Amino acid sequence: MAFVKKTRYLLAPPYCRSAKTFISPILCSPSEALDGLRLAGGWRCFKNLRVIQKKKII
Amino acid sequence: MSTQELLKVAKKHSNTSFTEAEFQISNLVNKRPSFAKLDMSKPNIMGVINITPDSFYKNSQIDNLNKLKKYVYKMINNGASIIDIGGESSRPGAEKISSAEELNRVIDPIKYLKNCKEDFLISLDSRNLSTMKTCYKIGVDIFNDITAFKMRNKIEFISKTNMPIIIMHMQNEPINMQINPKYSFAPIDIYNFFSKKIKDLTEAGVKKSNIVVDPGIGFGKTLSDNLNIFKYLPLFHCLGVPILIGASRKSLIGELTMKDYKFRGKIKKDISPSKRLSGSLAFAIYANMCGVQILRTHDVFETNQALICQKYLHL
Repeated sequence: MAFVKKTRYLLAPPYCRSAKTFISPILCSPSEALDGLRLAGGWRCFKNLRVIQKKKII
Repeated sequence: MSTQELLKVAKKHSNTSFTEAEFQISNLVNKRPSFAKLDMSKPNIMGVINITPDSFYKNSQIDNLNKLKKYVYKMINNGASIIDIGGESSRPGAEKISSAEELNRVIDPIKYLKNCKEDFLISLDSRNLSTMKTCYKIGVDIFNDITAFKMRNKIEFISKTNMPIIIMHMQNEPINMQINPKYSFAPIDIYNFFSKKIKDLTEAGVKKSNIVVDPGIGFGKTLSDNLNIFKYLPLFHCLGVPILIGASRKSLIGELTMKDYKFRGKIKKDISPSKRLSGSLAFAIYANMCGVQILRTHDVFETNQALICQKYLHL
């Protein structure tokens, strides 16, 4: 399992055959991310994602 | 990594990767439809009522209709939009009771709640199909099942009745769930469990808008599993359905407090559920900051007050 902060640290391309990819939004308040995306149309926002990759056993 | 960066790398790799990345991001962003007519773009509070003699938090145990009336009125007045009523304890080590016994405990309270004029929803906390069937006829609004509707006949019933449901993750059964629970990494294992479960349910005819997921804090999890679930709580938004969290008065709060005592070289035997309110509020605030749509709590007034203060602090 690897937690990826930058693109260059990805184990494998996202959603490829060799690794499972999961994303977790890094949340903040709407005032902290004016150009961010709204989470589920609710009260939290995000701009960045935490990417988690797990190698698939093929 | 930004969403744009993720899409860019995925696109560079293949069209399939790009489509999947887009799908995952849209799951995060898309507004959730209302669940049982409740607005999922704001936090909702679910008050816990246990019609049991053996639930882990004694103050939540209700044994007569007068106490129930007082409790429910208080909860609704203090900000609860759902009342979760259960007749079987699911605390660690609890033995299963017959559905007749469970029904006997909940039927009159549910009938009473159904006749209340206040505006709230009734959620039945049960894993028994026969209890669900009877309470459906009385008019409960939501089914909350700790076994995540494992049995085929339950799924068929849900699909036929079009009822809103809460699916919870639990490893094993309440009687043995805390005996050496094992995960490769709890948040991912539970995410995969829900992903498959939602697929199975929707294929069987259950509407996705009728599903809420509950990672089941304290249900077959170690302290570290529970903390990891909290740490990666926003991950579950990728499932595209609302999330419910119930950490109210649970043992992880006691365990964390004891750890601190031990670290400071002090002796403390136990932190009972009655002394876990502050920890419950801390977890409720954190869950709210993670965009969790439903908070299940024994302490509606205190939770609502914490959320109000948090809202005005723009945290």
